[in-house]
Amino acid sequence: MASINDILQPEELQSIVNLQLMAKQTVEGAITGQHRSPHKGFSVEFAQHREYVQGDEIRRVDWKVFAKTDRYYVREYEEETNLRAMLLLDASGSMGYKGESGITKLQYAIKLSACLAHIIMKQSDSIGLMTFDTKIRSHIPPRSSTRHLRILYEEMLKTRPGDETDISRVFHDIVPRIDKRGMIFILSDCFTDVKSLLASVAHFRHASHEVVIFHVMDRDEVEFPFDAWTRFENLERAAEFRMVDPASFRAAYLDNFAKFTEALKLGCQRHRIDLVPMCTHEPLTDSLARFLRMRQGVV
Amino acid sequence: MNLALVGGVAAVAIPILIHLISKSRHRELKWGAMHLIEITLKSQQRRLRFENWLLMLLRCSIPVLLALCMARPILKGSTVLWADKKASLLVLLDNSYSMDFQAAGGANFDKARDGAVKIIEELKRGSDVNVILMSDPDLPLYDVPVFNTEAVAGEISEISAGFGQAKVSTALEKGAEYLISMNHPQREIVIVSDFQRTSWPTEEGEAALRTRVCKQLKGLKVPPNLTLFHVGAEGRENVCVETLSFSRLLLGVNQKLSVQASLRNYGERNHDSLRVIFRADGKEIDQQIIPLEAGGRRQVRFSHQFDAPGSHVVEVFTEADTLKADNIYRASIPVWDKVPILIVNGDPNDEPLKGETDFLEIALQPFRAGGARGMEDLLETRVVKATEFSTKSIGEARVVLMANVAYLKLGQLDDLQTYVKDGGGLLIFGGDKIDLKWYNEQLLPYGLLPTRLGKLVDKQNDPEPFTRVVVQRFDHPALEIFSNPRNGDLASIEINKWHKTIEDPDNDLVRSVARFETGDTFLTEKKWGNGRIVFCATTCDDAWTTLPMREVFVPFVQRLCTYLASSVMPPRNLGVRQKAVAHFPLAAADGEVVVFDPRGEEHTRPIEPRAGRGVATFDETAAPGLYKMTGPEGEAIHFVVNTERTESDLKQLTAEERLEMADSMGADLVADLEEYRKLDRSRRFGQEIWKPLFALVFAILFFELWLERRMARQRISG
Repeated sequence: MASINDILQPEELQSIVNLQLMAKQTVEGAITGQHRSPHKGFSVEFAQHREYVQGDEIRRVDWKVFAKTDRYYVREYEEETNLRAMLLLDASGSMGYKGESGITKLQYAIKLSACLAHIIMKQSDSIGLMTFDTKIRSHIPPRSSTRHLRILYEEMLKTRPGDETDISRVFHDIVPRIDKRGMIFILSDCFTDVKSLLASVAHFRHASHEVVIFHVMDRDEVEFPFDAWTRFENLERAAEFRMVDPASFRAAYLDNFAKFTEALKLGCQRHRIDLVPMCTHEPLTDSLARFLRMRQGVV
Repeated sequence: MNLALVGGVAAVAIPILIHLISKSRHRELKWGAMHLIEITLKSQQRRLRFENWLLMLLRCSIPVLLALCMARPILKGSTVLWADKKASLLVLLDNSYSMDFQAAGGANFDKARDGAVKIIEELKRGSDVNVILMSDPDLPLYDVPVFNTEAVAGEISEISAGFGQAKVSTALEKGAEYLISMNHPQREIVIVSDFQRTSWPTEEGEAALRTRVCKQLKGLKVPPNLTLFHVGAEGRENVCVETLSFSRLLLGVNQKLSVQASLRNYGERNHDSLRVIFRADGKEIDQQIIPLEAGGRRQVRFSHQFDAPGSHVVEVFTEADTLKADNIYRASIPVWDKVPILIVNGDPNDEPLKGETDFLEIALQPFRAGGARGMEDLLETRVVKATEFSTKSIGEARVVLMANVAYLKLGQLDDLQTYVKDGGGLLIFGGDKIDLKWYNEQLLPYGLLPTRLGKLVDKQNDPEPFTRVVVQRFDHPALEIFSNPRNGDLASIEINKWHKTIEDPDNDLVRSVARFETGDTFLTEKKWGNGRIVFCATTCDDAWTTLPMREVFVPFVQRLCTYLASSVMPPRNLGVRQKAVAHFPLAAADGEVVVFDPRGEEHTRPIEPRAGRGVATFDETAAPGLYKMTGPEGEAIHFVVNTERTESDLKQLTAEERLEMADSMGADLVADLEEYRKLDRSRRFGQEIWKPLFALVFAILFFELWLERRMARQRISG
């Protein structure tokens, strides 16, 4: 089974540990506070049996097992959390872009997903994962067990950039599959029509989900630093390319990029969606810390 | 084929190749944000394509233009059709005497002539040429354009300067006339001149006239190219003898002739001791040393007596500078033994002093009448009755004097008219015999009466029974000595009766010479043909006036007669191109005269019978100087041709003024033969444009740099 060590570098992992305290505070104060659990008291969902040890409450002894085996076993129930989080990981072709940072946007998004899963799980909340491109490629519903976390890591490691993106349609498909309201983390470059993207994200909001978009970009896409003639080959459509002199229209490109991000930002504000721009050349923990601070209202 | 041009065309490929190579050396990039590239391309494609094409065009044009510069291309217009073709050339050559100025490197005219010769020699074979000498533009060098350019060049080489003043506007007008008869569609007028200020004035009137003529030239069906060819340096020193004036109207043998010469220094140098020489018949008679400051004018007086009748020549000469033409001023002086006067008596009377002309005869020949021994009268009178008057009776008479003549018969009138037209002098006195109707209806229409005659004015019964002559400062040559009463007091004359004349103020040929106190005219003069007529409103006897009784009568009638006699004979001091005419006895008619021109060339001319005399004419007087005509009997008659001295001021137009003038005339200005050749080449083959092309290359380079920077700025700012 995969572990977080397979996804994050040791120093990244160390940084994550450092974020624990901030995360705990964040989840309790910010996330949990906003998502009050509809259930009270103990959790009712059975998790496993374990042998009775001294000090366990007598009432938690499973007498039926005792009757069958003549040994004392205690029933362990899965703890019902306040938060059900869902990671929506964009695995479309465009996420496969790798610039000077040496890491694809998808890899960056996976690391981010792993971090998020780790932090949320540490808060005893449940977390699920969906990967998609033109359609849903995998769906793991939210759980809070350690084993579940490993399943998530496993799935993350398996994920590779796919085909074209059709985020809007996929999101509309996803909404009915998440039966309980919770928190949706979208990790994507959002390279699609902004209007339709916002319309689909709004669908989550109508279903009472809290939505956070991690807008994952590469520095090249932000700054467009090319000078020589370049053949731009579409990562999502193999046969498609454009031969251009990037220097001559850099200004116009950046103008259009600014319009694109601005439209996304305004749309997110309108729908009360948190938009977190992230760039692959930035240390992951920095980006994450920025998010957490934002959730605390510091930023 | 021009290799530079071929290279330049090939060089167009360089920027294209660079573009293609840079495009082929592209990087490949798998890209996610294709939708942003698509949007950007969609919005910017047109601008980018335009800018890139513009940049490419500029870069391609630079090597092409550089190659063009190296190939020295020629801009061709419609004139290219005429390139290397035959042309019609009209040369206006300034041969005025100022062109004789000797500058360093030779006379200005030599340079002008050499330039003209070279231009003509370089014409394409088959071209036609004509030449107008600007001092004498009425007659071109050839009646029709000449195709033998070598012969024309040869003939021009023989021409010399010193021929009066350049007549620019007339030369241009004549040029327009002659140009029409020329043969080729490419027509050129080349004016070769020193552009002396006096001949090329910049004042509005003359300049406007020139411009008008040039517009006419440009308006011709086949307009010519007009070129102003400036030659010669400006003279800084020039002294000229401006005029000669004489004390006598008519000179007799052994009579003293005073000659007054006026000298002027047009130069910038003061002359402290200028030698002025007086010559008579080629012999030096006298000389004076005078100072003459720069810009100054001074008179010098000489005197001389000729001891033999006939034609004599006097000249005043100074050796001041190299422009010889105006250093000398000559005059032909006829010295008379006798001056025959024919008196036509209209009221003869046998009683002494009762005849109409008795007083007149005495006054005109006082020595003979007084019986003075050893004294000879210059005037010799002969009296005929009106009925006896005829051509034959005129004979050699220099003046015909009509005294109270009632009328003449028609034949007599014709003879008199011919006589006056040919230069005779006619003096008419009034009187009671005059047939007013005939005078007004016959004599006046024949041109022999200055003004119509009105009624007779009679003051005899008036409280003041006479009038007098108004004495003033007379400017008339015959009367000017009476401006001083010591020479004769015209105011002493009392006049009782006179013919009132009806003046015509519009008639420029008639002038009132003297008036009575009543305002009526006393003497009226009219110039008609080559002769002159003077009408005296009163009588020449004592019937109407006390004139014959007064001392002034003798000098009065003598002056009138000598004045008229001096113009009787055809003038011998001529202007350029003025005909030289000499009269001979009728018996000499059908004979010949020989004329020696200033260059010593001999010309023979016939003596033709005309109006009872033999007349010889010579009209080739374009060159100033002395012409000697020898009659059949070997008698010599001298004619002197003098030019106006306006050209003695050698100042030329400045370079700026010449340029302005060329502009106003629509002409091109050249200063030497090489410039002319260049101009001619540009007219025929087009104009070399490598210089503007080179400038264009620089402009494109700068523009390309600017455009490149602008595009780069857009990248950076983005």
